Amino acid sequence: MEKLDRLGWAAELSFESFGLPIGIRANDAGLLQLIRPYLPPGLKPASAPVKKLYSIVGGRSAAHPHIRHLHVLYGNVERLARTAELATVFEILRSDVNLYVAGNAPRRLFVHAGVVGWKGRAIVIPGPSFSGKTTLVQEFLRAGAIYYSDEFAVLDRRGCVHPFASPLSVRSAKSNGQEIRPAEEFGGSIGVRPLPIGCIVTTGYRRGAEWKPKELSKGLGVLALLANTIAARKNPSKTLTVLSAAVANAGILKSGRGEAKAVVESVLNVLEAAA
Amino acid sequence: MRDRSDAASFVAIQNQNVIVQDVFGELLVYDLQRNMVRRLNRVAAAIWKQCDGQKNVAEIARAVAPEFEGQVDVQAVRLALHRFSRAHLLAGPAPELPRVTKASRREWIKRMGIAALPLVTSMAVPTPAQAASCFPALHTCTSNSQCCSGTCLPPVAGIRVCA
Repeated sequence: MEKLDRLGWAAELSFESFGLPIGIRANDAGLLQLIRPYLPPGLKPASAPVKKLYSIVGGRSAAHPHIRHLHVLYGNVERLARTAELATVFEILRSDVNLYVAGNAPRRLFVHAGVVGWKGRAIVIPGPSFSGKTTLVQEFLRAGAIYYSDEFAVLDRRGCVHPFASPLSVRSAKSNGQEIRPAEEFGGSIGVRPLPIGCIVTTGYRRGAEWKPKELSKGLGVLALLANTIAARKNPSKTLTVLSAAVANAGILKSGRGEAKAVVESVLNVLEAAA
Repeated sequence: MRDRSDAASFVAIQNQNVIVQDVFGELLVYDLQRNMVRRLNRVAAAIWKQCDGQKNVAEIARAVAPEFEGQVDVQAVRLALHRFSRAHLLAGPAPELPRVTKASRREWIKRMGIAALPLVTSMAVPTPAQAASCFPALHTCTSNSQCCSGTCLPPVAGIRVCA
């Protein structure tokens, strides 16, 4: 870290995300302006010394503007990225910050899931990458649901879900990568208050599949959430306690699916019937 | 033929390497050594709770049966104990399951009903990287499964990155 510390840093910013103080520094002040869209939502001023420090060494220097170096990103002393593409550096920064927060937040349990709110209850869609969570979230928003996240269900000790409302990360056929799009684009407003879980939807997209949900037990519902819980190994006792509270009043549905619209209609009907 | 080990008693594993969580009558047993979670359905949970080192197979069945309208019999208990043993949920050995034909097993399940079957579901607890979003291209990595592309490239200067 001393070697990194000795480099010239033009600007630094620090913040707190879910109780974790994080710092970012760069050798070019302009870079810190560009990264703000990639930071977690709901940031607060840091109230304690930074424990995780990211350092961005930008490739162009004012002293030698005609020489193009690679951009390098460090997380503490670990090199995370080295590339000519600044957007790639920011994406990797976003990924690493999110993973750090999700794995270490002291008073929350993070589950990799899409989340929307519907009439005071949360609908949680746990699942790995490429399982179609964001597509389902978009469809729920079009139906009038409130946006909580397409990345994490953030649970408190009572099992209620808090928002992690970063812009949706939508896979783009055009760019062969991802596009960041605000929830408002899909007709959704952003959730603010914590919600108890009304329904857990465990599903994955398969071409031609039909949505024929069966209801799972609470125990299997905990397993579905646990399979996607970031800090499960770090604090197993807290994990099981929080997840058990989370499923207490939730219906748990499992099925493969084809088009998202059929799932949304079905799930909202289930919630209406249970109300 | 009655198995002599039916007379033995069985002890559910309960020590500092195990965390047990009741979830509305089901049980989740977290094995800290193996980073595995076993989910016991209500029938299996009820049988496991009776494994106190005092009761034999018949006594466990008699203790559990009233909770399930008499549908849990010694065969169900033997099956449960066998499954507990495979899942490292017993402190000692379990009785061997008697050999039966598939037809006999199907007939038995049909008679008992699916709801009376003791089930143990096992799941590996994910690491943070396994549970989180996949890594984008050029993110440092240690295994293929971490990368959105599915490929963690061979190291260059000692560092591996996602394709």
